[in-house]
Formats: sequence, C-alpha cells, structure tokens
Amino acid sequence: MKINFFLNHIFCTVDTDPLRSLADVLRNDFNQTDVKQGCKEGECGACAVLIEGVTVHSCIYPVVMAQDKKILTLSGILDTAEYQAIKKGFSDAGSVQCGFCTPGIVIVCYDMFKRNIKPSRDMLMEHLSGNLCRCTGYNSIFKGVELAFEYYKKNMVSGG
Amino acid sequence: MRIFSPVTLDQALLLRSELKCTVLSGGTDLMLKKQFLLSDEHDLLMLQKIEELHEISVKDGITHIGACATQTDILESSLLWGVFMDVVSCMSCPSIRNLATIGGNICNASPAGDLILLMSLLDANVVVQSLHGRKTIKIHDFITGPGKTVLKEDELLTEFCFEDSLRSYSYFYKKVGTRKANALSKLSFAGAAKYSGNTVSDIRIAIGAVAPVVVRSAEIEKLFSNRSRQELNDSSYSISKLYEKYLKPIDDQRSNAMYRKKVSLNLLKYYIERVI
Repeated sequence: MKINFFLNHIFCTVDTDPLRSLADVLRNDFNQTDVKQGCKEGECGACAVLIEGVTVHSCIYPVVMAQDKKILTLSGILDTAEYQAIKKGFSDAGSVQCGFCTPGIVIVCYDMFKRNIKPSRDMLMEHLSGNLCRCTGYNSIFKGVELAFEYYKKNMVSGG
Repeated sequence: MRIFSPVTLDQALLLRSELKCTVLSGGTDLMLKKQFLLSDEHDLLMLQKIEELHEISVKDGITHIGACATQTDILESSLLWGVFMDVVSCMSCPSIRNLATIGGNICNASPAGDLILLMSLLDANVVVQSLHGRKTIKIHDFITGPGKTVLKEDELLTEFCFEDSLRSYSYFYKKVGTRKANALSKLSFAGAAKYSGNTVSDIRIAIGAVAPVVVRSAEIEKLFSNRSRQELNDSSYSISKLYEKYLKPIDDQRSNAMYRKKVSLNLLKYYIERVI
C-alpha cells in the first residue's frame, strides 16, 4: 500500500505493509537512525517521534496511520531554539551516558517546551515515565532538562 | 489485506456489515497482537477519522464518551471529574495515552483493563451500533470473560454513557502494579460513596484483575447502603467475607492468586474503615 507523509518537512511516499511499525519504516526505508528501537512494544520510549505535534511511540504506531500526517524526528528539530537549549542543558548536566534513550527523551522535552510546560520534578517524572534509561542516569537527565528549560526561557526573553 | 478509513459512522457500519474486518482504533494493543490476530484475508477498518467517535459531551444529565476518545482526551477533558484523572494517570505513559482509546481498552476486555473497572463502577452503558440500529448494553453484560465481549462481527462500539450526577460521589482508586508507568494492574480497587449527612446512602465497590470480569455485587452494595459510617466500619469484616467468595484470581506473570486476593481484601478493609 502506498502511504504519503511529511517527514521532517519533506514530502515522502512509501509502498509497504500498512501494519509495519512507523519506527521500522523510518529507520530502514528513510535511514532515520535517530529513531531508536529498544523494546518494539511501546515500553522504552527510545522511538518517540512527534506526529502532528503529539508525542507517540513509533514502534507501536502502524505506518498506515501516518497517512498525510506531519512527522518530526530528532533530526527534524535540530534548528529549533528548543533543541539548542536541550543540547546545552544535557551537555552541561552530563545527561547523556550511552545515548540510546536520548533521542526519545529529547523529543518528549521538545514537546514539553513547545507546550510551555514547566518541568518541575513531578512533571518531569510524569512526562518521562515512558522513557527508560538502561544506564539509569535519571537524575542527571532531570537536571539537564531543568537547566535546558532555564536556557530556553532566558533565550526567549532576550530574543536570542 | 485491504485497509478502509471511513470518515463517517454510516460508512464504517456499512463496511463492518459487508466485510470481515478487524477494527483499528489507537493501535497500541493491535500492533502487539497483529501476528496472532491478523492475516492477509483480514481487512482492516480504521476509525481514527470519524470525528463523532472522539467526542466527550454531557447532554440531559448523561455524560457521553466516544469510543475513540484517547486516554489523553479523557485526562484533559473539563467535563469529566477527579476519578477519571486518578485512573487514567496510572495507565501507561503520556506518549501511549496520546494514542490508546477507551473503546480499545474496553473491547480488549482484559480482566486488568483499568477503564473497564471505572466504567463498571459508574454502571456505564455501552452503545453498540450496526446497520440494523442502535442498542445499549450494560458494561457488565458487554464483557463476558477475558478477551470476550458480546460485540458481533457487524457491530461497532460507538460510545459510553453514564449519569453525570455521579460526579457528586466521593471516589477512591488504587492500582497495584509493578511500577507507576507502563505497568498492567496486578489488581485494582475502586470505591464510590454518596453521603447524606453522616449516612452513606449509596456505596459502590469494584475490584479488577481478581476474576474473569470486574467484581461488582449489587446485592452486597444494597445490603450496606444507607448505613452510617460507624455501622459500615463495624461491618468491615463481614463485608470482606461476603466479597471473598467473588474473588477468583489466577497466577500469571504479573502476580499470583494469593497476593491478589489478600491485597484486594486489605484494600477493601482500608476503604471501609479509613476512607469512607
């Protein structure tokens, strides 16, 4: 079946099994290796992407549901103010260990920042509850997001 | 495999009556089971684009939740009340809640389904439609066992409805799982009470994942309604004895029968003695 969607602002077409997972299609047909596949059953969140601005786990998202939709992966947000703040925050707090869970976590944080949700600890634990880190560096991840949010707000105020 | 994505309910009902098709709502369960459930002969009916199935509304004192309302829709709806937040916020995680629908959770008919417990507590009705018309079925009659419902091959579950006045009850909800996010219930307990003065005029108790279907007993509830808090407190032992015979849990990968039974009865006792 032919399925069309916008992947990181580019119109794409794929002819495939409609029930293949979006994560599989993005990685193997479009070389989007920033979409990680950990569990393939929606548990670990490494495959998180944004569809029409909503975070979903792409490993349990049938590609047919993406028909005509706008998909953003980590590589589609690199130029945004949100990503730049997250990058600096994560780097300053040492939030990245092996890095496998990082793309999914960055997508969730990007979504939080976009929706202007202040990342209090409770809020962070709730929003990142679907993202597992096997290195178990959760505290440094939380610290990184908090720092990132400060940078993001400061940048917004100074208009930088 | 052919895929259909109708935009109106009438089109969907027509397709459902003419073809042997599997229904896809949020897809979060179906994607995990597709190798067992689907084959090339199966057609797939996607409900995503039917707007009326996403609606949450209150009309004439009745709350309606469309079958395709996602858990996030439920969590964020201003028309629903606290216990919905308590239940839904303990389900999966935000990214899955953005996709998973209430209709899917109920049609999946898992004994551990969290929204089944809540719908049962609210005595919700399930609206089922087909080309032949529309019928309303009580949630207790809709689910007949693990993974089993009375939904026929040409029918679609379209909405849930229950009395809006139930928002005035006081609720208690406790889910016992391995961890807070992404864990299926080992067991779950929900209670609702309506007070008039110091008297509990109506009491409702639902226990999930301890029997093939959610445990609710109108008989016991009737017996202990219109009692004072003190009377209920004094009867907690006899109430738990009465419920004990309904609890028929199993051992599985999540928990074992003994634990499920013991903790359910402890929660029941806690609810009667400390919460009410």
